[in-house]
Amino acid sequence: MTTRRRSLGTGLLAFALCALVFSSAGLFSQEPPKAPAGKPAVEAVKGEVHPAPMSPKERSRVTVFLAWTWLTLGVLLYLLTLKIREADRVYRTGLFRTTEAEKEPPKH
Amino acid sequence: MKKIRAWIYDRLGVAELSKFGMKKEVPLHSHTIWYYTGSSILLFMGIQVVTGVMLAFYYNPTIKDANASVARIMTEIPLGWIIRSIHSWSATFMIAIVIIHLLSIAFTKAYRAPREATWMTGVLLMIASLAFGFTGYLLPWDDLSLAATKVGTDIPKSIPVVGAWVTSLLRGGEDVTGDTISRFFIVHVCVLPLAIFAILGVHLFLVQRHGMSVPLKAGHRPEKNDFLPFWPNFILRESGVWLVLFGVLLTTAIVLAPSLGPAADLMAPAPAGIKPEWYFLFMFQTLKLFPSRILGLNGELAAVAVMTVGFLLVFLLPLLDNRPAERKGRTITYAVYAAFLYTIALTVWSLL
Repeated sequence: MTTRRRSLGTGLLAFALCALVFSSAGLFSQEPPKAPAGKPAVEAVKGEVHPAPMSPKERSRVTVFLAWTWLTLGVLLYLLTLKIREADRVYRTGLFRTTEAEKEPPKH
Repeated sequence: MKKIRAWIYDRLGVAELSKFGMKKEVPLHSHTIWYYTGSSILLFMGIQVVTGVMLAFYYNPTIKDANASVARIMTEIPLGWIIRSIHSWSATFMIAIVIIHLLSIAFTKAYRAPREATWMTGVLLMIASLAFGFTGYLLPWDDLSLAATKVGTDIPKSIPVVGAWVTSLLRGGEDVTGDTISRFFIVHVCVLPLAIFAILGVHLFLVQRHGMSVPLKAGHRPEKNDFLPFWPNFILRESGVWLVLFGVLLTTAIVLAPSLGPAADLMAPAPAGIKPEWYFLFMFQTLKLFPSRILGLNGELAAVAVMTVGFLLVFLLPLLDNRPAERKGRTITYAVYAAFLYTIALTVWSLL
């Protein structure tokens, strides 16, 4: 497999993972409170509003979303380490190194 | 496709930017890790802007609707509770990293010449970040936010001559009312962002102008080419840090989403256990420590005077310690340690 194909493949994989994270996000929006007929669902708040989805179904969706997010981040971090190694290798070869005349003196 | 790319590159000067990034070098030494804190602040600021705009679509800054609109964001709007939680937690993360960034500069003496103005703009950015926190705290308009804002806006009252006027200016009247919400909202979404972007522009220009400081005893060996090109090597590493921070922020925001209290009642007595956000706790505790009269002076005024002098000393630190970079400046290091320990101790005391 050529380098170009490999990078295209990993890029597509990262994109697919990110896209799935965003598409799954819509699945676990909090269920709105049921309002009696003729009354708005939310008006003046009497008690404390739950900070996050509380039903077991919603909670499990949140857990799946978080797991998926960290999986995506893991893949992206792995790809980044490959890119960093490559960039460091290119730097060590000195292909793009600035000349001594261009370089500023070290500052304290 | 190639033609479009060439056109964009030519018009935006991408080649020159890339050349600048490759020419710019980041020193590699035992304290390089602190260089990542600056860019992390930018990450959280970006998240604040994006989530803040999303919240502003649904938020109503009026006494009648403020609390109900936040409740609607949390219960009806798809993903509203996550966006609100991310906004709240990224503010906390940003201020924590701003403090770490400032401490790292203070301990490594990076504020010394020629970077005095960089430090001063940094302190102004920290004050602006704290102002963001203070104005944003009132916006949900629940019991706790009303009481904390009353306490906070009451503090300037103790200042002679102008105190009452400052309090009235902050509140938009004698007391905290609906006018205060709209005033705080405008300051939070308009005045402060304009101020912070202007100061940030100057700060970033100064960072580019003077380069990154290398602390003494950092083990930096310029003769052995201990540098990293800013582009792409350093940026790629920063991206990794950003990804991890984003993951931590998202997890925290989901697991520890903030709740919303009942709508504030202007006639109700202040609830028990009023506390401001964690970054104001040391000031809150300092105020409580002072007796009502001290040396014939109003205790609150004395506390305000002491804290103002403290902030002025921090702001003017580069002018107070204007020795050459080679000098260690142990007195300043001990003073920074003492201030840091004082802040931590009083924050913990206030939490207990």
